[in-house]
Order: sequence, then C-alpha cells, then structure tokens
Amino acid sequence: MSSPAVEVDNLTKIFRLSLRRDYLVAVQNLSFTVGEGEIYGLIGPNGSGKSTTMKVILGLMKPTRGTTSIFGLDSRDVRSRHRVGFLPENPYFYKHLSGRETLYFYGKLCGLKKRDLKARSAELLALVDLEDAADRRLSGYSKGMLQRIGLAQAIIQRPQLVILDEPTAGVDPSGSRKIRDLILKLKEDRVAVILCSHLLEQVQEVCDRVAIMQEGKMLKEGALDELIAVEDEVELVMKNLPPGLQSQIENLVRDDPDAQLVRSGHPRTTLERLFLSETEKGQQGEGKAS
Amino acid sequence: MSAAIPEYRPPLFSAQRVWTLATSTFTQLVRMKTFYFLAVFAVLVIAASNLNLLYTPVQQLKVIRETSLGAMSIFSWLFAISATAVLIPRDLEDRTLYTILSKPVPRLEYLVGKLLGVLLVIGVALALMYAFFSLILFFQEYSIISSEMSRMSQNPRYSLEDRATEAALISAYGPDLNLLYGVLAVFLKSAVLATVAMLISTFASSSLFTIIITTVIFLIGHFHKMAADFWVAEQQGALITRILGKVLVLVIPDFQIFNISDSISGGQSVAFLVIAQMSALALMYVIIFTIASWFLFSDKEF
Amino acid sequence: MKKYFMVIALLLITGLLRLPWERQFANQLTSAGLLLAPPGETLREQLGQSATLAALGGLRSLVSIYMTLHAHESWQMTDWETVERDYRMITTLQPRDIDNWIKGGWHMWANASANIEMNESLPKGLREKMRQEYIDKGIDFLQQGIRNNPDTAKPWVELGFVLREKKQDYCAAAEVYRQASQRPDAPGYTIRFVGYMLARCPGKENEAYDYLRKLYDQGEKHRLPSVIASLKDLEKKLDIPLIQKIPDIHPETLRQQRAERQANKLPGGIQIK
Repeated sequence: MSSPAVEVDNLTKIFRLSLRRDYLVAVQNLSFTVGEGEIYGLIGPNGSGKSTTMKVILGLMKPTRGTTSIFGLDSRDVRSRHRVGFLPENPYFYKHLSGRETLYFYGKLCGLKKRDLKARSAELLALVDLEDAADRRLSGYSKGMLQRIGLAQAIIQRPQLVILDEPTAGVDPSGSRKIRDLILKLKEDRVAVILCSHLLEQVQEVCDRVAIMQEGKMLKEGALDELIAVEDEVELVMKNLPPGLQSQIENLVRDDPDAQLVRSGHPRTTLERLFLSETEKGQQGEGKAS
Repeated sequence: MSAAIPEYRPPLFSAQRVWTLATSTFTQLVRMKTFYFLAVFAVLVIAASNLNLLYTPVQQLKVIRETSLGAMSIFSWLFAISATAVLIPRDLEDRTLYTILSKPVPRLEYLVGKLLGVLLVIGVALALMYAFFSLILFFQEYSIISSEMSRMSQNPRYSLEDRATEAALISAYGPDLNLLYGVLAVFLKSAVLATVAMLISTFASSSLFTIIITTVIFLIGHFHKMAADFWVAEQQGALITRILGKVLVLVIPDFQIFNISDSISGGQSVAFLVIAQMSALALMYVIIFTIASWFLFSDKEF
Repeated sequence: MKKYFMVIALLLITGLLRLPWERQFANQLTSAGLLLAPPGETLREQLGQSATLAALGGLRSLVSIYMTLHAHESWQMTDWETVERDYRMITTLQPRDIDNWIKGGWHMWANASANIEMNESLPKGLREKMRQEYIDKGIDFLQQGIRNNPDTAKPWVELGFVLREKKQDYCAAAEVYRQASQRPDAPGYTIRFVGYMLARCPGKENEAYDYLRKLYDQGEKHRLPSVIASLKDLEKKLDIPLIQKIPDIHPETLRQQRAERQANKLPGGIQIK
C-alpha cells in the first residue's frame, strides 16, 4: 500500500491532426501525484489537457512519453482498472437497462459475484438516492439521476480511486449538492478522488489539493488553503455591530501609516447558498402543508 | 470500506465478462425491435405456402423451403452487417465505451462480447424462424400427402406401391435434418460476415463506411472461386490486376462456400461431416478476423 | 500505420495457409451436388447485374421463384418468348430441379405450339413452321434436362411422349423409352412402350417382334391387350409360322374388352370422360 493512488510522471501526449505533419501537444511534461484518500482538483479552461490526462490515466489513451500508474500498476495494464472508478462527462449508459440492471452490468464486468452484487447495488442505490427509480429504464432518467447512477457504477467494485469528469455539468444546484455530498462521503471512506470541474466553487469546497492546467502544462499546484489564501489581507466579519464602533475602527486603520482599508459593507451570500436555503424552506413548507 | 484489498490477480480472459457483454448486446439489439422481422418472415412463409402456379406437390413444398431459407439468409446478412457496424460507434458516441473500458475489461473481451451478442441475436432469430417454417412445412406436407393419397386411391390404376412411392417422394421435402443443416450454414456465413464487419468498424470513421465496405467485401467474397481460378490459370493481364487478384483471394473469405442452403432447399442431403468441416472453416475465419480486429482495436484511442 | 501492415500480413499468411483446404472443401461440396458452378457469361448477361449478385449470393432459389411468377404471368398473356427466356434462366439457376426443365419444355411443345397453330393472322405454312420450332424448343429443354439429371426417368418419359405424339418419330421414341426404362425410377409401362414404338418404326419390325415376344413370354404381367394386339399385327406382317404364333384371346375376353371400349372404359375399369 505504499504506492500513491495516482502517479503521473513526465506525461506528454501529442496528437497528429492529419496525415501531414500537423501536431497538437495536448499535455506537456506533466507530473503530479495523488495520495491515498486525497481529493485532488484538476481545473483549467477548455482544451487545457485535463480530459486527455484522465484518459491516459484510465488507459483509454496511450502516453506519447512518460508514464501514469494507479496504485503502482501502469495504466496500460488492464489490471490497474480494478482499483479505479470513472464517471465521464455527460455519461450515457445503455438506455435499455434500468438503474439496477446498469449496476449489475458494471458489477459483473468487475467480476463481482451475484450475491455480493445484489447487496452492493441495493446499498449504492440507497446511497445515491435512486431507490425509487431503480427499476425504471435509464431512458426516463433526468440528467442529475444519470450522473448519480454514473457515480454509483463508478464505485460498484469499491475502488480506492475515483475519477470524476465534470460530475455536475448540467445538473441543477440541489442535484449538484447531492453529488458533492457523495464526494465528501468518499473522502470519509478514504477513497482518493480526482475531480475535474469548471465549477471552481465546488472544487474549492471539496478538494484537498488543486492543480491548475493551461495548454497542457501545469500552472500551479498545491494545497487548497495555501493556494487561495491572500497573505497580506485580513477579513473581519462582525454581527450586531453597535453604531459608532465601525467608524472608530475605520479611524484606527486610517491613523496607521501602513494599514489600508480595502472595503467594508454587508457580506453577500452566494446565489447558490440563497437558492438552496430558499428551496429547502419551500420543501419544508410543502412538507408541513401535506 | 477500504479495508484490506486482497492482492487480486484477475484472469486474463474471463468468460463471465464476455457473457455479460454479449447478453447486454443481445438485449440492446432486441430492444431495437429487431424481432419485428420475424413477423414479416411469418407472412412470407405463409404466402409462399399458398402460392400455386400449377405446382406439383413436391414443388409446393420446395417453394416453402426456398422462400424460407432465402428470407432467413437475407435477414441474417443484413443484420450481421448493420448491427455490427452500428454497435461499436454507438458505444463510442454515447461514451458507454469509456465506462466499460475503464473497468477491468480487456479490449479483446469487449470485441468478443459484442460479436457474440450479435451472433446470439442471429442465432435466436434463425432458430425461431426455423421452428416456424418447419411447422408450416409439416402441416403442408401432411395436407398434401393426404389429398394426394385420397386422389390416388380413387383411381384403381395406382397400386399400393405407387401410392407409397409418391408419399415418400413428397415427404422427402418435408421438414428434416438437412434443413437444419441449411439453417446452420446460413448462420455460419453470417458469423463470418459479422466478424468482417467488426474488423472494418475498428478503423472505420463511420457506420456507413463500415456497411459499404463490408458489403463490397461480401460481394467480392462470392467471386472467390472465379478469382482463384483466375489465379491458377490466367497469366495475362496487367501485373497490378494480377497482384490485386491474388491479394483479394488471400485476404477475403470465400462466402460462396457457405451457399449450400440453395441446394438443400432443392432436396439435396448433407453429410454431418460436411457441416462439421464447414463449421470449422467458419470458426477459423472468425478467429482470424477477431485477432485482426483486436490488433487494431487494442491501439485505438478514445 | 505499422499495425495495418501487420493485419494485412496476418490475413495474407493465414490466407495462404487456408486456401488449399478451402479449395479442396469447395470441390468436395461441388461434387456432392451442394454447390453449383457459378453461372456462365450468357446467363449473367440475361439476368442483369443485380440478379446475378443475388444468384451468386445464395439466393438462386428466390430468384427462380420470382422468375417462375414472371413466367406464369407471361404464359397467361401468351408471351411465349418471355416464357422461354424465363425458363432458360430458371433452369440455369437450378439445373438439378428436373421439374423446371419439364415445365419449361411443356410450355414450348404443348402450349406455345398449340397457341401458334390457332393464330389465324399468320399464313398456314408459317404457322406450321413455327409450331414445329416450338416443339423443337420443347425437345431441347428436355434434352438439356436429361444432360443435367442423367439418373431420372422423368425427362426421358416426357421426351418419348413428345417424339411420339408431336413428331411421330417412333424410331427415336423407341430409343428414348429404352433409356427411360433403364432408370431406377422408370414407370413400368416404359418397358412395353419400347416395343410399341419399335413396331411403328419402319424397318424395325423384326426387332419389335422379338422384343415384345420376349415380354409376352415373361408371363401375365406383360400380356396386356396392347402387347397382344401389336404382336398379332407383327405376326401378320412378318408371316410368322402358325406354330410360333401366340394364342388368340378368348372370345369372351374380347367381347368384354369391346364392351368396355364402347362404354369409354380403359382396361382395368378406368373411365374416360
């Protein structure tokens, strides 16, 4: 168990665009490591090489140079896939299968035995809150439900690493929060997660470490708290401030030769938080009414 | 949850996984309403059994055999080409392929599973069609023999022996083991065809391309004997056509060799050994083309 | 790119290995009558490309069913040229189906020839010429059928009938019936028809007499009225000494036969309508 969950070593991936000598460097000399039980955020604009990196880790693509490995096994070895689960961006599963059948299908591909599979599927359907829809065909699932069943299939064989590509793309905020909670649950269980997302806020909420990529190169990597802390600023948030105290504080700051007041005012909630608190209130009200 | 994970050494080739992929492909294809063709087939067979163009009793049965085996051939070819051509690109388009290949599924298993799924559908469809038309044939045989017998018995010119001979002649065209062999030959041919389609689809840019190229190969595969004779006999012609002819003969399967169902519907009988040999030949083609497909597919990037 | 060359190399090498076995197996199938030789040039021209492909693709039977339907329609419209062409194709597609040869021939020697005879828009001489031509076409179908199916009596019997009834060529008919009688599935009467035909073939009276007499001597089985009548006829023609002649039929039997004939009945009580 000494090997890290993922090790990307000097990875370069070059695509040949046409028969002529036209090349695209998708990933260039990329190296990073994801430790056991760590949640690792991979962020960057479209075309920055995040998806390519993930595909190489999963063995869907071959590296041009460098290596990637999962728990010490090279990605090109099919056995490395026993300990990884993957949820692609906008997944479509076989529409003719029900939620439960989908989990059975992927479970069997992982070599799970029938009895385990039954219990495991029931457990996961409960976990992703799809028990009621378990026997409906996926053709009738909403986007959020598809993402959740996708997450469930990704962890069917209890992998110790899960790779999620835009897990909340196109999902409404409450669905998105459910997925976030599931990721946090994985963290509790010491499962390593690589999360690719555009939603920086989400990444900020769950990730331990973050890498920012652009044009196939790593711009910055580190522990989240370190990365986003603004070293030379201090924020005070106060409640029930008596009148006059605010101007006293402001005067104190003004009198100091080095200190500077950047801004003051009422803090704002995020729209997401507002949306969630209001919709939850609405639901509770409905619950009472009915 | 992440308690000690035993050092798991998965098998290199798992029949269970292949079967999982095959059955999933089977349901996928069945739920595409494939089996509606069976209704069309039933209508065809019933129509053929009611066709009467001054046919002799034997011809009446022959027409049922010919129509049925012909329709079964057409169904299984069309299905072998189109279903196989559509399956892999569809998985890729829907990104289902990502989720499957990111599980511990070797690519060879994926290919074999898909192919097996297509063959399962063809096999089940052929079995159902065979059962249906044997039944029709059985009843037709019965009614034709009984009407012939009653007609002949009214005529003192026909001896008992005459009648027995006529009955035997007619029942030679009833349902029999030879027909089953004919259906098996149809299946074997489609199996080879589906494997060719699979090979093409591992590098084709679209399903349409796969369908067209496979159809062309299928047609060329019927001129195999002529081309092979050409190879042996012909020494004239441009060098390039001669080389091309040789390459085609070696690379493309001989589809004509499986065409014994025509003769069988005409009443020829087949030895078990012939069918066994034909199955071995088909299996050899399937293995060769599957290995070739795997060669290309194992390197493919998604 | 390298992989593609490897695949082609794999196919070429396995191709070289399998080809001899494959050829041998194909020949085995052809000699067992399970595979037919590919259609020749002329048929391919006649059928048109698409039908040829279908025929090659193992759909010979379906194509021939379609052609049979087509021929049936043309027959109802007395379009004899089309009927002939259709049956030429059908028989080429399924040369082992003797019924196709017989039916194609029958359309020619019976239907087409009779129809042309009634066509009053044509001068009489031409009608007769065309009638003979259609009979010859019918004979040609039957002869080709025989060539493709040498083991069955059916086309021989049919050909004997045409030679006898339409051509009045009894000498040829005798030979044809002799051939028919030698096939395992020959009807019992063919053996006697050889004799009847010989009796009507000028110059073969002696042979006819010997042949029929041999049959007569085999016992009751062959002592049918026609055999007896032919023998009596030949005895008279050939001046056979009294001692060697066959006995006359009993007057009672003769009367019975005559009565039956008047009642439009054949020997054995078969009613003629």
